[in-house]
Amino acid sequence: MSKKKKTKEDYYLASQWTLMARKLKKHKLAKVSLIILAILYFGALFADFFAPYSISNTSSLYKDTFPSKIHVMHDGEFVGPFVYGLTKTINKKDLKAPIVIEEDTSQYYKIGLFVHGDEYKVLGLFTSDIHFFGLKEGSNGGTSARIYLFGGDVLGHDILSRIIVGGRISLTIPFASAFISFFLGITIGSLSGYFGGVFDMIVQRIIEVIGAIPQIPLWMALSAAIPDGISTVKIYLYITIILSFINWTGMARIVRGKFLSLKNEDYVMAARLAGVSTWKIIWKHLVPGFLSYLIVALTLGIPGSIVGETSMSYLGLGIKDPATSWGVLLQEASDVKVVAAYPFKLIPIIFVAITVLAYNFLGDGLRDAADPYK
Amino acid sequence: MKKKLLSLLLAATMVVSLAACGGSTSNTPSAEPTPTKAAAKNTPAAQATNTPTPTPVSVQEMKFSQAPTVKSTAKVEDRLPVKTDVFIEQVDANGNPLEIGVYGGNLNLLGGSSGWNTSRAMLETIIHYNTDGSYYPNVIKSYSVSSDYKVWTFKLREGMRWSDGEPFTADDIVFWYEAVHKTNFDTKADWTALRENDEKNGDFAVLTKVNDYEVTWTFQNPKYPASFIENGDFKWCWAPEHYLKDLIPHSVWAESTLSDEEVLIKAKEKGLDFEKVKDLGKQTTYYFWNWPGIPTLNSYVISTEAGLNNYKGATCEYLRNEYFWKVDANGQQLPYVDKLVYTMTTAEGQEILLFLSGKLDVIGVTMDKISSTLADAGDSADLRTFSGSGWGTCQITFNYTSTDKNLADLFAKSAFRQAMSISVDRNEVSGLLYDNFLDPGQACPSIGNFGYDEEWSKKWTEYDPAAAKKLLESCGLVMGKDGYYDFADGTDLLITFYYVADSGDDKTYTVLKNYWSKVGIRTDAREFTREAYDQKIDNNDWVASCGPTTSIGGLGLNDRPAPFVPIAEAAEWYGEYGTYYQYSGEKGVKPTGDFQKLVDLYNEWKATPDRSKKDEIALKIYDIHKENLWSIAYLEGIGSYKLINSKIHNFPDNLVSADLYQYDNIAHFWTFFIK
Amino acid sequence: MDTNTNCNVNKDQTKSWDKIINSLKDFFGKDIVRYIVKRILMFIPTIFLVSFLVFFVIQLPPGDYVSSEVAKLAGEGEYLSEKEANDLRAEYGIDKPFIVQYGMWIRDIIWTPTDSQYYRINHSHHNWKYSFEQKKNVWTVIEERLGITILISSIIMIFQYAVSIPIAVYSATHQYSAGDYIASIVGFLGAAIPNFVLAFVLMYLSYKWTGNAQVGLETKEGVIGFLKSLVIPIIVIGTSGTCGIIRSVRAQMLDEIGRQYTLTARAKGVKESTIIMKYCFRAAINPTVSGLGGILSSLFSGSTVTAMVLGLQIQGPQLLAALQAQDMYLAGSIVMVQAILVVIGILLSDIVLAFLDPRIRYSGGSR
Repeated sequence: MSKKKKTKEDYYLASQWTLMARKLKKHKLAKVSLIILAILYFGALFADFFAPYSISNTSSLYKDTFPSKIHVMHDGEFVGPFVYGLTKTINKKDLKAPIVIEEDTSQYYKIGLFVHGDEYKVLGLFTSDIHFFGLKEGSNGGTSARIYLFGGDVLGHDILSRIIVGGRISLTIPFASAFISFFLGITIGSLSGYFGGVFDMIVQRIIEVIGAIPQIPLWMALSAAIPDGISTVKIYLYITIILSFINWTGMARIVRGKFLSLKNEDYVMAARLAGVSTWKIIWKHLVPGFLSYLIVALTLGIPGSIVGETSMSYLGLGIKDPATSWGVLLQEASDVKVVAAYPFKLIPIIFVAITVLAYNFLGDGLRDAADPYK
Repeated sequence: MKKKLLSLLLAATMVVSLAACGGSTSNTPSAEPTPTKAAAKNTPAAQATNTPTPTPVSVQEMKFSQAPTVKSTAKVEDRLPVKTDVFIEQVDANGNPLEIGVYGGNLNLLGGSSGWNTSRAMLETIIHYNTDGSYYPNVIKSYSVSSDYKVWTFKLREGMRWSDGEPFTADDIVFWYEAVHKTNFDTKADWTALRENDEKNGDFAVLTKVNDYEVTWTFQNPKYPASFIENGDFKWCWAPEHYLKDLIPHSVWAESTLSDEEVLIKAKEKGLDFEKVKDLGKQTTYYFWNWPGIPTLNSYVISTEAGLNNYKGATCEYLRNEYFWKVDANGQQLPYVDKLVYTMTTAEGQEILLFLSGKLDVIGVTMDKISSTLADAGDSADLRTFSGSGWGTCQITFNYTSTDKNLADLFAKSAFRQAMSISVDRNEVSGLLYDNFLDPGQACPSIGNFGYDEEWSKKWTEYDPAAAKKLLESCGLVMGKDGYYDFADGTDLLITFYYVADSGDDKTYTVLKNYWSKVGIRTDAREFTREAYDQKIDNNDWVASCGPTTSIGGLGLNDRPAPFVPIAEAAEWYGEYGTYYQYSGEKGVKPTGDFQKLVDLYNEWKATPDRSKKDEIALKIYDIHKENLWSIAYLEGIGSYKLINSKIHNFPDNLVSADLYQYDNIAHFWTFFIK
Repeated sequence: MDTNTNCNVNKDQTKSWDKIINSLKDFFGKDIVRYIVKRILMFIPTIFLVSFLVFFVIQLPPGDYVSSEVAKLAGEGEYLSEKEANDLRAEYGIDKPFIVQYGMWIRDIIWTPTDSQYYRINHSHHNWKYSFEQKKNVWTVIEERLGITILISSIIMIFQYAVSIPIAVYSATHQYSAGDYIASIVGFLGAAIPNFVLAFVLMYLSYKWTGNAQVGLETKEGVIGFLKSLVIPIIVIGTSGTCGIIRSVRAQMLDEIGRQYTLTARAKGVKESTIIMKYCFRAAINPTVSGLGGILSSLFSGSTVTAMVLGLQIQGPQLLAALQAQDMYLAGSIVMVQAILVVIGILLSDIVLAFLDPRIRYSGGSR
């Protein structure tokens, strides 16, 4: 009884944020999304372990190969999940199908967990060659087969491994970028909307000016202004951070618009009369009033950044080989030949979509949780 | 990989000059290269040929006819040159007979922002080359040279007309030379073809009009064919005087009385809206085929209709030149196809879709796209292969004039280059990058080309990482704790490869890098735009190059000598040594050893008129390359590929793609027909 | 004059805001007129600042038009000597200091002196300068594609709003229904699939299904042909933007539906549809309208990559090509024209905003 009472008391005394956390826990889809995101980030953190192959491991035999077929029966006998190796026949005369790749059923390679493979460094500390899964030695002692669950890319890299490793960049940098512009947008927009006057006018002009300059010349100028000789990942990091200092304008305008309409509400007036500080009014009374919208904007900003990265890759301004990201993978897939002959190379889209949807549903959950009327 | 056996370009051209020479003192009829199949061809009908043509044509009995869509009311005979001077197209550049075609249809081609793009299908030049390197007079009826090589004579085709119907005469040549070329109105006054001693600043030759259909070029010093008629720059020597004479201002040409402004206004009235006289000059006299209204001698002229007359626009049309001066063996005036429609694409891959949809009839494809596109296209597409002239694919080279002494010393060692070469499994490289279509190779002339040497093509190509390590140690490198070699003084060895963005070299590097790491060579890569890359090379601020922009070698020294010998600020493989020659020692690094030998041999080659002697010297130059392999190639040379609509006839296979041959121009688009 | 401006604004908006036209008329009082005039005056320095920044940004990358031309020619096997390159620079005036070039550019756009060569040849007081790459006057180049760019951007924007607002209202009023989830997933897929990938897939499918790949806009085969060729661009560019609008309107609607005043209205027996349309929707659309300027700008510049892949003859690819060639007058002018359009968009959105939400007071400008 007393425990229950305590909970009730807690509930009434709880801050807005605690209440949100509580409500969030009840939101099933948000919970699932959170778990998915946790898995994705965990996978990215230990990418080298989860990726079955090193992303510098090329193979002409596995170039452009379809996802490995997983079998369980060999010669009519059950042997558990395994794959066959491949053989390649080249017939340069047959212009329409010069290369034929077939399974070599002479021996099978069982799939195992925690197998030895390419070497890597765990968190940059010590060397290991254990991978989450991979192929064991073939039934006749062969080692040439590979398991490419999502197929091989144009240089015979494992696409799955590239997706996992690419997540390191695609799951972090866009997030950072969206967050910076989000923070700047709220701060500047709210101040501008709240104070109005000359400050508002100046901010509005700045927003207009920044908003009116198209992104592409900015991208090109920025990537050109960064001195050469640093890695493409760093270049990309710099560009995204600089861009997030430009992208806040949309958010700021929206926040300002909201503030203009909210600041004359009675409760704000009351708070002001009661001598509450401006900063506190903004963050305690006004921002929660349209938090739901902000959350949506943030969850929309992340896919925007992820997709933005792919566009930059397409224009040759983003990350490039040998570093990898989902944008790089999609850029490689944007080719008529890929769509026609190797549709499996579009698999990275699924990962982008899952991430984006997970962020969105998490955002939904947060939104509901943030709604004080529920 | 298909291989076309070429006769020796140099040998063939030699015959040409000998024939001309043998013809001696005065005008000989057009020089006829005798020994090759392709030689017997496309001659003005009046002239005797040494070998029988596939379908002997008697021009006197020939009845001329024209396309049904021709708008001009003048009779076809009046639009063509006089019977004896009409050009009869009978064979293609391989010497194979052409089909007699039917009129009609459009040819849909790929647009491009390069000023040269549309010229490939229509440009008519002084001479035309065959794939074996022999050539024949094209726009001019014939040429000849005096025995001392000082006086060159061009004879023109009587009755030949510009595309607007005005007669084309010796005056147009004089006008071009005096008003356009010598005044630098075309911005090309530095062509060496018409200068004494092949120097950019040498005196100009003297042009004399003998009569309306004959001119002579007179030089003080001997002017050999290689630097005159065979000079790749010297593609035309005419401009339509009647159209251009009031478009040149006094500031450019002393004889003109017009001011810059008046000229610009007059140009604007003619639809040529340029803001600068410099642009007006270069565009109307150098890229003349791209601007509506300018009369040309080409098979097609750009449309004057707004919206279709901008070669950089989304679509652009070129219409049949109704005064074109070539006919087929049946006397039908060429070209067969009514118009060329150029469509611009904005992203890679669009051209394939447009081709598959039948909206483009000819596209270039990379090797890896051939099979999937052909599989989609079914029977409606054919493949045409052009052999390349490059020395091997997947090239790397090092900066032999690097300011880092450790690196420069290392690169200078042949054992190091050998190690870099044999540490790579070429079969795997071919599999990864070219679907196994290219065989392993080395930086050397392709099979069938002048100077091909089997031993050379196999030199240092055997994959042997263990031997590579031994070689590296023999260079004084020491294996470090990190598994990579260091210099003897303990400093890290790191070779940074530079390449140009979007050239595909990033993939090449990715593949090669793995092999080099395996033998303990640490490498890195930096990507640049073409502009920044060229700057790095010019400033000697680079280490190594993966995919040099001026790769070593080529068709032959007479095409462009700069890739063979260190004489220009151009090729990566000789770096600053070339700068030294170009600036006569004011800049750059003085070549030593074999580099100096190359320069000496080149100077000797230049001063030799005799073709066979020239070839001997060229082979000596090749031997030095074989010995040193300053550039390493991992695969054999690559050709280029075209997919064509199978309705197109007379598009030969196995052509040769080279700058000297004007690339696709050698396909002779004006003989194509659609059926 | 003032009333004129009013009418125009009015007209533009009536199309999509049919229902509320009457209240609009009531709303337009003296304040809003003053506000608009003031905004237009402020708009002038903004454009100058934008043009200056743009000109600066364009020149940030190393090199200039001549050096990129030299590199381009080298790729074609043509070589320009250093002297020739410098002559070209002098000819084009790009050897002058940045600020001088900027000043001349702006001055010539506004008023080219009568005694200049340009005026004597062209009889025009507005010299947009010369596109080095196209060898034409910049305005001629821009003109070619300006109309179609505005047309396509408008069509796509109308499509986005027409599709996304009903979906958003439905999603909000049927929160967590199957339809809501489907709308979310489809919308986010649209946002998550990069435009250029979708463009390639659709172009290829259009070939596979019809035997005729739709590349570029069809301008020769009448209205039907033109509209047909618009299908893929609308799907590609449209879907990427609808998600954002759906999500934000939906979120706002949900907020408003939960508000006290909605409950009150409902308790008083006001019809549900009236509550949704008259109260909630009006409040919910606010942030979306603030974002109108941004959407316009992203349609212009954000669709560049898509336009390249699809071969659309609009301004984006032209701008990119100009930037790559460092054809600065062309690039600068395109950006400036776009910037003017975007600033107009922002102005419109502010006016609509002021109308939609009477709480926003503009009495005597800002407080």
